[in-house]
Amino acid sequence: MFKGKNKQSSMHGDGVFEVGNTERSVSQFVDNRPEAIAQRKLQEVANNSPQVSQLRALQAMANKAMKSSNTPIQRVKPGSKPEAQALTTGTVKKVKNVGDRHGGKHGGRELKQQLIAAGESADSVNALTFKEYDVNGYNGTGRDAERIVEASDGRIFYTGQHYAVGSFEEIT
Amino acid sequence: MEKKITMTGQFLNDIFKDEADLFLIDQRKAEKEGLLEEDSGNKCKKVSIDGKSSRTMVSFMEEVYNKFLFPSFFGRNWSAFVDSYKETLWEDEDNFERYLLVFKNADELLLDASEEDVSALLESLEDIVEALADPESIMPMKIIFCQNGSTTSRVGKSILKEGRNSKQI
Repeated sequence: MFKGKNKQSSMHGDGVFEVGNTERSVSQFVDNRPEAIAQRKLQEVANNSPQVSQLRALQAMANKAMKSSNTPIQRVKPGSKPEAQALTTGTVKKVKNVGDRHGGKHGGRELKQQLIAAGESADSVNALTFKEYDVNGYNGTGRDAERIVEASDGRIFYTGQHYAVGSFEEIT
Repeated sequence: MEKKITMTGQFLNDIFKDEADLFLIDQRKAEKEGLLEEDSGNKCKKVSIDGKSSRTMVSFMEEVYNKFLFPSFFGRNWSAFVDSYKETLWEDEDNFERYLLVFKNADELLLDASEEDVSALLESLEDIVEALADPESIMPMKIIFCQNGSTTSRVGKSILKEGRNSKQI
């Protein structure tokens, strides 16, 4: 008895047993029965049909779209310069297109606290005003805890914890 | 009973005609006018929050989380409060023409919280009222703080001290 999956016995279509890799051996098995041959031909026809080709094209488009929409927002600590600025700008633009959702006269309270705690001047921080946007949900999907906050000095921040102090990260 | 409804209707009309956003009122008068009871008749939604259950910022956040059925991601901070409350109000705009938020037992509201949190509550409410006063909005909002007796609640004192758009009844 062999140990391990690569050491198992299998049989070729010609009735010869081979010892070795199971996957490779299975792929070499040829079923010459008339029913199997007919089935293979039918499968081949189906695979080349316009409907299947169309489905393949649609799936490729969907995969591409998923890849694009799943592009994560590039988050960096305030002061650092991310390299993937283009991606971030695109995402922020998309989010901002929907408009300021929650920025009131007194918005940004928790962000102000964080900036002051990080050493910024209280006077300059308190002079800032903020606009706030949903990161998700702007396109009709469910809302969640992610928000983008835009300060009047041009800086843009991301929070994934619904405005919790300490959760804001500057993005560019 | 009919008289009470009529009085409340007139009282509400007067409040919504007034330019003030925040009202300080004796709790007994509020009770007499039926303001302490939650209802949603005459296209006016009346919601009350009990100051007794909201003596700290943490307990206030818990109270509003449960009262307004905020989403599970609610951050329990002031920005999150404004964000989540506006969301519920926008949904209410589909069904109501006026919205009244009543703080009963306002003497105890944020009584054990910091001065900053009291200001934060008032500023948050101001932002929310302003959002509903937007020309596109169809549901103006007024806020009533019910105080016991002739004493002025802590929140009431802040309202007066900070010169907010208010009126004592």
